[in-house]
Order: sequence, then C-alpha cells, then structure tokens
Amino acid sequence: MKAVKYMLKLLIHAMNRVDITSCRFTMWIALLLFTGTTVFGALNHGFSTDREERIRNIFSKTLEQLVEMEVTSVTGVEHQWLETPAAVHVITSDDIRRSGHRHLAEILRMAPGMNVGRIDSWHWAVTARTFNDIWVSKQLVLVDGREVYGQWFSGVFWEFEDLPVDLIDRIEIIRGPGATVWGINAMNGVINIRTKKAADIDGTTVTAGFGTEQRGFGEFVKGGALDNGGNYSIWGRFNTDHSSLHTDGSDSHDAWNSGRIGVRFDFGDEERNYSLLADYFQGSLEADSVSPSFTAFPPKTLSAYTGQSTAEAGNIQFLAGGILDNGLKWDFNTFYFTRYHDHLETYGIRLEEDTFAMDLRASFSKGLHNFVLGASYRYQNLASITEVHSDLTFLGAVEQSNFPPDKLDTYQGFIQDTIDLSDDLHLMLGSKFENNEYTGSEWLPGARLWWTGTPNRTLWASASKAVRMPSFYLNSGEFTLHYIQAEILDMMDDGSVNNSTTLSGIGLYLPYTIYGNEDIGPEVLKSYEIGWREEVRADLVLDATAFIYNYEDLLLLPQGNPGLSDLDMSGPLPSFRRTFINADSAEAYGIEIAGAWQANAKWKIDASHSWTKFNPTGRNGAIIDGIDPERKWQIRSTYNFRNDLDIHQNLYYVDRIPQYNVDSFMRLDIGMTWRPNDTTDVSLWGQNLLEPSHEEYHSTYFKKNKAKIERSFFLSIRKKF
Amino acid sequence: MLTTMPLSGQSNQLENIVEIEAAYIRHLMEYTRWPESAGTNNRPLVLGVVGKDTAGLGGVLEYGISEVALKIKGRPFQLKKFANAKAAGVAGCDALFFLKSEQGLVDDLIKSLKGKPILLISNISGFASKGGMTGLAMSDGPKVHIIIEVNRNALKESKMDLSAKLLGLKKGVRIIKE
Repeated sequence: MKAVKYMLKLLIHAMNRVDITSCRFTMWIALLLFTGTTVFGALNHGFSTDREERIRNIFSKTLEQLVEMEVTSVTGVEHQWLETPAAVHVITSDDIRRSGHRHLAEILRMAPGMNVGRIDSWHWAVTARTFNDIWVSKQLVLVDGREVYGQWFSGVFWEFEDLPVDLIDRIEIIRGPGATVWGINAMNGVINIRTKKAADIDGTTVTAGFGTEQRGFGEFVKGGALDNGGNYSIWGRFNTDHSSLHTDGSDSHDAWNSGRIGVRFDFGDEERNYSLLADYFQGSLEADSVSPSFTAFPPKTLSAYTGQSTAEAGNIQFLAGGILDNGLKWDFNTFYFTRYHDHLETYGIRLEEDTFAMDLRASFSKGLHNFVLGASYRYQNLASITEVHSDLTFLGAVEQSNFPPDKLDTYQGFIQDTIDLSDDLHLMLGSKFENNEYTGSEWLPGARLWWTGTPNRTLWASASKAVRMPSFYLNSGEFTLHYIQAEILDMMDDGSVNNSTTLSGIGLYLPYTIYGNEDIGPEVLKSYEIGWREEVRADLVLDATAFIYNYEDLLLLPQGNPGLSDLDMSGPLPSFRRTFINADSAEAYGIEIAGAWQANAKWKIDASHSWTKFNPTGRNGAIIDGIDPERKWQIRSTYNFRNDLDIHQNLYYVDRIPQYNVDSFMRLDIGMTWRPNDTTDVSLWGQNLLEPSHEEYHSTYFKKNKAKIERSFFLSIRKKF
Repeated sequence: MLTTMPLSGQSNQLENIVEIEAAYIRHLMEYTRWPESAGTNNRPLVLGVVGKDTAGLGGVLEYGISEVALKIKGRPFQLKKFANAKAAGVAGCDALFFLKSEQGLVDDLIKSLKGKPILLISNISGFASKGGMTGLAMSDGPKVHIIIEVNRNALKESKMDLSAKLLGLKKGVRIIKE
C-alpha cells in the first residue's frame, strides 16, 4: 500500500511538473510500468485509433462548424456551473454511465449533500440536507420542466420515475431553496432532470443486462430526422428487481417490475422551437404493508398484508420556446399527467391523480438589469378508493382510511432581476407569489449576491424564504393507524389510556385515527447560505457551501399517548382522533465540500463530504429528530486502464439514522467497462460489496419491518447501431 | 461528433477540449493578416505553445502537422513548445498560445510583446479584455461552445487584423474592444 501511495505521489508530481509529451515524462511512465505498478496500468503515449479519427475529424471542420461544437471543460464541469451562485451539482449522462447506478434515486447518491436511503427494493427516501422521509415533502423534482410530485403526500414516487440511462442528458441538483424561479415546495432543494433532445440521440442504442438483484433490465433509445426538418426519438425501458431482505433474513416481499415507453418530437430552431413529449408507465410491485393492528399504545404492529400492487401513469407534454427580434427569450410548458397506484391488496387504498399545468416564462436584459419573469397555473384532481380488510370488518364499518376526492387550483408568479453592479459583482433580487387552496397566498422573497472578480472563482451568499404547501394528506386525508384496545374507563389520572392494558383483556378496540387539518398553514423556511466555487487549477475544481436553516410552523402530529382530549364520541363508536398542527420549529446548519480532479487524461476522481446538524426545537420534535445522517462522504474514481477498458469505483459512507435505529454503512461498488469495438461496451459491476446486506433507511408508516439491501452483481451489454 | 466519439465510459472531456482548441488555433492563424514587415508571406508560420501542457495540446497539434498534414495559408507550419513565457525564442514566433499555467504572467506578457507582429492567443480567462489579441472563451448556457474573443485594438497596435470572414461570423465571435 505504501508503495502504491508513493507511486501515486510520484505520478502526480510528474504530471504537475513536466510537459506530458516530453521524454522525461515518458521515462517516468516507463519506469512506473517496469517497476510493476499495475494499479494504474499503462498510460498510452500515442493516440488510440478512436482519438486519431476524432482529431482528424475536428481538424477537417470549418470555423462555422467548430463554433457549433459543444465542449465540456477539463474536469467535466460546465463553465456556467462555475459561475452559478447556488449550491448546484450537475450529474451528466457520462457520470451516470460510469456510476453503475440504474434507478433514478440511486443515481442521486452521487450528488454532494444528498441523502439517499433505500427503504426497500422500490421505496427510497431522497432529499438534500435535511428532513428525509419516504414522502419527502420539502423538495421539488422536475423532469423536463414537469413536476413529478405526488400531491397526495407531497412526495416523489421514485419507482415511477426511472428513465433509460441513455435518455438522460443531465441532472441538476440545487441544494437549498432554489432561486426565485423554482416552483412550489422548492424548500430543501430542486432536482431538475433533463432528457436529451431528439437531435442529440444518434441512431439506436440498446442495453440489456441481468444480475443477482437487478434480475433483468433493458433499455433502448432511438433518434432520427423527420422529413420536414424536425427530429424524433423513441425510447423504452424495463426492470425486474428482486426483493430485499427482512432483518431476520426472510423475504421482504418487495420484488417489482416496471416498464416505460416514450416518444419525443422536436421542431424548429433557436429562434422558435416546439417539442411534443409523451410517455406511458406500468408497474407491478409486491408490497409488504403495515396495517391497522390491535395493540396497546405505543403501537406495535402485529399484522402485515403481503400482496401485489399495480401502478400506471401517462404523460403528455408540449414545450415551445424562442427568441423575439427584440432579444426577449420565452418558454412555454404545458402538460397533462395522470396516474394511479392500486394498493388495495395491501394498504387498502387506490390513489388516482390527474394534473394539468402550464407555465410561461420570459427573460430579457435592459441596461444592467437581467429580468426573468413567469406565471404558472396548476389544476389537480385527486380521487381514491379505500377498502376495509376483511379481518377488520367485525369492528363495524370503520374505514381504514378516508381520502375524499379533491380538486385543487394553484397559481404562481415570479419576477427576478439580476443586476450587474459591476463587471464582477452581481445581485439577484426576486420574489415569488404563490396561491394554493390549502394555505392561501404567500410572497416569497429571495436575494443573492455573488462576486466573480478572480478568474474561475465565484463567491456567493444568499438569503431566502420558502414555504411548503401541505399535502392533501395533511389537509384532508384520514388514516386509521392502529386499533387500540382500551377499557373505556381505564384511564390514567392524567387522562391518557392505561398502557398496561393487555390484549387478553376484554375491552373495546378503538380506532386511533390521524386526520387532515383544514386550518393548517404553510411550513416556513428561512435560509442563509454562503458558497465558494473555484477552478483551482486546470484539472481541479472545488466547491464548498455552508448553510443555516430556520424552520417555523412545522406540521407535526402532537406526540404522547392518545388521551381524553383525543376522544371523539360523535360517531357510532368512540374513537381517538388526532390531527397535525403548525406548532414546531427546528434549526439546521451544515457544510458541504466537493471536488472534481482530473488527475491525468485517464483518471478522474470526484469526492465530497457533507456534515449536517439538525435540531428540532419544538415540543413534538422527537418524531423528526435523527432522521438524517449527520455525516456523509464519497469518493468516486474512473480510470481508463487500457484503451478499451475502464475501471470504476464508488465508495460511499453514510452516518447512522438514530430515529430508525439504522447503523452507519459504507458502500463499495466496483465496475469494469470493456469496449471490444467502437459500438459495443460490456460492463460488469459488483455493488454493496463490503457486506452481505445492510439497512439504509426505514418508514414506520409504510413497512412493518426494516429491509436490508443486499450485495449484488450485474452484467450489461450496450450496443449502438 | 457523436458518431465518432467512443461509445462510453472514459471521460473524453479533457481530450475533447484540447482538440477543439487546437482546431481553433489553426483557423485563427489562417484568418490572421500579418504586416508585410513580419515577412510571413514567404516562409512557414511558426506557432509557439507556452506553459505547462498538462492537457496535451501540443501533442494534438503535432499530430495535426505530421499525420493530417495541416496547412496554414497553403503551407505547412511549425510548432515550438516552451516551458514558460521567459524561455528563449518565444518572441521569434508568429503566433503564441499561452496555456493556463501562465495566468499570473498575463499582464507582463502582453506588455512585453506589445506592438510586435505576433498573434497572441490564450484560453486564460479574460485574456482579450486584458489586452491580449484573441481569447478562447466558453459560452454561457448548459450547452457550452468555444467562442473567440477579439481585441481589435491590440491587433491594430501590431498592424495586424483578422479577416472579415472571421469577424463576420454570426455566432462564436465576440469583439471585446473596437
């Protein structure tokens, strides 16, 4: 190990000191090779045939053609990113291919400061910085400008969102309340996923693979030109995933398969362009639920139902944009999205959701001012079917959950002005206006200041306010979580139910129901951030951010045993009922550091570390304490071992999750990509290699038992036609 | 470009950028008019690459000269590599490309070469606005392209100019100072 370290130092030293093409450097390399260092393999002095061909091609281009060529900078970061005054990380399609991650939620692991906890085979908790949960309610996720947000619980159903890896152009992850332009619930962050334009998909690419956990998967993307000058692309994907394990080693009943197909048409040019996108999703998912159970308080779930859930979704979207003669740039986006999840067999509920939305924005410059403004409207139609499990019917017609249908209109507008105070100093001021049916109207101001005085360095600071529109569930849903056995008169002196009542006793089974509160207000976040980003050297980019969050009016369920004050005698049977209130506050602060280093032409390393401290300060804070890992770090390496062979490594560390009693874990993935020819690559991956299985996250609302993610292997072949 | 890029995996980003820069340098020299006094009409042009070439720009240009038989103004051209801007012979070139390692020396370099008929090119940020003749900069936007920043004052001081064809490009050229 010492020798390897020494060689590494030597190599880095050589790279920094010496011209790569000089003979001294060649001698260093020869020396390294002959001393038997196999870690880094052979550095190729000449050019590969691929590269020779590419150089010839580039030299044959006219200046007009060169201007059209797209470039990325040395470390793969984009120039624009260097100057963005926010905690932004960009994941490119190349990054994804090199990572071995195939599910969208897994791909997001690569972003610094992101919490990604796999709850089981098809549930993930994903958020930036704080407040992770199965239904992350404080984060906005967009795919091609379309919100992929479920209003039911305000969360993202990640199992619906997988895309072919070859279709993804880039994912921008913005930690912190986004710049003013971002939409509803962009509280902890924005995940902005962009798929490739049809013209950027060249020919047909097909991938197929199989493995121990990802039992089978495949995808294709195909692009081409239309007769009338437009372009089209069609794509599809499927996956069949094996179930995870319960902590006792038994099957966790969460195997799933899903498929999705889509099409896109693009017309026009920069001055005026139109796109039409459509896709369809279908999934069949095994589920292992938590069900209402008969228990003393605190609840211990006794029974769970295993069954099959089904889900379908469809989306049609129209995009238009252009530049007017006076320089005004405009974009219009409208979509209709419909989806259902049928969990009748397990959770006793089927949720249906239709969304129609449109969004118009414009940007123009006047003097030192650069304006962006926009307006949007969203209509949602929610409906559900609920069933009572046959096991519970003896209790009478007590409904397990009650989600009355709802129709919602939401309006938003924003204006933002970026003022160039000098060549180097910029100020962004903006405000968003939002009106929703649950909490009314809100003005959300934000300010950002940044300095670009030193070349390739950006220093920035921001202060902003964000709100979260409550989900349907918090406003008007109803869930019976448990049936509590209680002798109605057996109350403690303080009015709470006697805990010691046992199941064998004769008593009433009283439902303990959580219901939505129509009087709730929005949760508020005041955020303060500072950041530094710099291309320190041509081959090294560093990015650091520090933040302070103050949450107010958090919506939490009052804690403690249900008592007399929760007793509702108005129904046919008495019941305990409790609702959410805006009564809690919390503070969070943290530091995130990330770097990308192109060690040499063949070796790239990305690393990040983040530390977040979260302190609930309210009365009911126990329920949100310790739901996020305090520390996370990762190192990812890609090494071009031979012209036709790349070696990839991902090493992730995630701190423990005290709330769910989940231990810290280290995850190592190693992958190899071999290119037998220019159009084929074969990848072999081992994932989660360090342990046979480990826990990552949990949701007591959703799962009876914690699930463990297993060590896995897969092989895939990608072929371009 | 997509068809010629290897399918996957290994980052070609470093390679990609130096290749495009190399092609730009060659076109810039093609479209540059040197004053008669420079005597460039009768001999091969000499391009100097100055600084720590960690990205391998020199190698790409060498490959272009020897294997692709690149020509500028109908003639082959020569390439010289200098470890830094103080190396002997730098001022004897017809065009100089300053690598990013020379960033700290930019002001001095421009001052010392002022008025000389040497085309100065660099990808150092803000090169043209600091008085360098031509800079290779990145455009803004998620899709990044290289754009040529031209400081015509600096060119005029050396009695040089770029052809109207280059200056008239709709996209990809930004005039810094008239």
